[in-house]
Amino acid sequence: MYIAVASGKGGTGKTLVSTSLALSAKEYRCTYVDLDVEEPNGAIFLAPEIREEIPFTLQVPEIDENICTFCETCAKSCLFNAISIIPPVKKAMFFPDLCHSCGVCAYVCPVDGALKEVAREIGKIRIGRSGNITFIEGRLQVGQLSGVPLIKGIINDYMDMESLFIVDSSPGTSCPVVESLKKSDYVILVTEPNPFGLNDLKLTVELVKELGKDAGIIVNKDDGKSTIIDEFSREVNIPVILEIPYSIDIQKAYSNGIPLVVSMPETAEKFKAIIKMISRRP
Amino acid sequence: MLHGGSFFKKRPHWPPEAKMKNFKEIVIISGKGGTGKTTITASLADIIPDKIVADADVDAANLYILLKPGNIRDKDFTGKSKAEINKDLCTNCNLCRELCRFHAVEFNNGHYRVDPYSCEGCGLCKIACPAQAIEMKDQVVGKWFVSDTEFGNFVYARLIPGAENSGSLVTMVRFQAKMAAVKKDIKTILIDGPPGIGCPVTASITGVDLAIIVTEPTYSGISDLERVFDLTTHFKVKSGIVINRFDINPGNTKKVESFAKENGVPVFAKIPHSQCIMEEIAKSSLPSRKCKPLARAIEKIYEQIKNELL
Amino acid sequence: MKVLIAVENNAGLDSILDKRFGRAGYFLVYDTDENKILTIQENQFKNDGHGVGIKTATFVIENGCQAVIGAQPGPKAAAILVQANVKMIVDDKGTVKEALERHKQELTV
Repeated sequence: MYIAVASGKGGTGKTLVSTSLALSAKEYRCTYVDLDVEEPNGAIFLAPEIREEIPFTLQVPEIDENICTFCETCAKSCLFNAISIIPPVKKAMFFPDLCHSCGVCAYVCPVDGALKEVAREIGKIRIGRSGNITFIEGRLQVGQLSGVPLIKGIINDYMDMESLFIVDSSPGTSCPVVESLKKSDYVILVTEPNPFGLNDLKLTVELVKELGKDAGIIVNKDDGKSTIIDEFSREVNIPVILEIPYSIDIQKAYSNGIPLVVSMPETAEKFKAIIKMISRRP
Repeated sequence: MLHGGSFFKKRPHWPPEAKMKNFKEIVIISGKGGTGKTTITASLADIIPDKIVADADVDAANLYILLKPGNIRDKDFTGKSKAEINKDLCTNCNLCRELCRFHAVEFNNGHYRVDPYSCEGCGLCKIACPAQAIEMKDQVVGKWFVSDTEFGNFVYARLIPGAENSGSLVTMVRFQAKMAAVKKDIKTILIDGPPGIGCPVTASITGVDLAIIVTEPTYSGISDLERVFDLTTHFKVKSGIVINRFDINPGNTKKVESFAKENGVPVFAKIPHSQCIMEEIAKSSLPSRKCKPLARAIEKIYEQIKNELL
Repeated sequence: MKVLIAVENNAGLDSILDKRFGRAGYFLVYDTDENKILTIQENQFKNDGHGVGIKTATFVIENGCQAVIGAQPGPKAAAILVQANVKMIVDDKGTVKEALERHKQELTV
């Protein structure tokens, strides 16, 4: 089973919730997957013992200027402008940050041996264990523009075993999030009871409905007074499955990397109940 | 073969863009989401005279909630094109599905179809298709808006959930803000930046005069600060740090201050945690108008901005 | 020599220099030996995504220009122009006529 934890707005408590779920899933074979590859933080709370660190690479073109005839076919076919050929000075230029690793250049090059594809590292996959929890994290190299290939790589190659997957996605609603939600069985949406939280929750709900996913809302930093999330939840028919009260103590514990179920053990029962509820759906 | 990227790192001595324009661009970023970027941007917009405000967080644009724009003019934004298979021409040869590196071609009910959520828009399938049954179609992926507010012109945008091209839309928002600044001879552009370190953040910081990094004294915040600072260094952007909710963890606040000192980055201000700010946000009101500690910190930040940009 | 000038509009020598390079409205190619405009074309690339400047730089080279006048090109475009030994004159003020006059010296081989 694949439970994705998402939030439109950053800082609402995705990692707080996802790590709490993983720590509460003691009866299951649980794998925590940190797909917030731009800013992965799950390790701060789970303190895993890392056993493997695997470089993640993409195929990118390498042009041999001695064989290249500077016909410019590759440059003209690249829809991302990642290659520039300069015939007057017989130079080939490659812009790695524009390359999407699609293979078009290699496919269209008419000259044998002029263009080959080589591996280029864009990030790392770290694998380890935290107690009984299997820990997988994607970490994008700073300066790389897109974490999407790394996220896809982890989902395709490292999540094919039987497990309860708790997946922490990135904030927002664009492609890294789409990738993280696409194969999920259930999406937990974490929000805050204020206009910013509601605004971004609306966007994420649009996405969840587009993808046809079952979902539930967790309201974090709940002040017990605001009703804007409840009202919205009824409008869109997505239930609020948990409210975490606003508490300076939780914030302080969080700031020291202490998971919620450790600083407030009574919450463990609630997270256990959520996992049971999700696994029992038809 | 030359790598354009590494080339840039070795020879950055063409005249910096800053000398060409007569306005200054300030971006507020954070690495970690939820540190208070938008609140701080809005508060600065309230005290900096003569500016254009832009919201570059196109995935989850929130600034409009506090700035309350009126007279909104909008325009469609077209992102990259995606492949579309013409069922009538398709011969079911399966070549596109074999070649597509993004697993974007599906075979369902006897038909081949491109999944737009997976399609990267590279065109390999179109090039390879022996029946020429595939075309690249432009997609409208969002909208951008130019508006008026009590703080001046405000440019923002919205990406359709699930869409890509955040970077291009951020570039469009910045470009519209620059054009407005040139037209009205305005000296400052204030940009609310996106969280993270990916393409939209890069698009929001290249060529700016100052990046204000808002952080919080949590382990997560510190980890993300280090990564986003790596990014501003990579792009040679002058930075300053603001520590929000500094009093929830004095030990970690000291860590941030040490980090700042080690890296030669000024700490512009430290903002205390406050119930007042949360209450004002809940009402969609500008917190700096009511919450004195925040207002004082904003004044301090503005002083530092003036120092750095003169 | 041939020089490409990035302009806002199509008004011959009175065209105004654009504040952008890669996304300029039009490209004007001028021949300083023959003292005439060879072509003014609408910029086909200006609404492209990333790497617009790369297309512009390619256009410069394809048209045999040895110099460009206009706003500061982005780093990738600049990298290409440097490799191709194209002189970059960064100036986005006034009209084509004025810019050509201002930079007369730099445009003699």
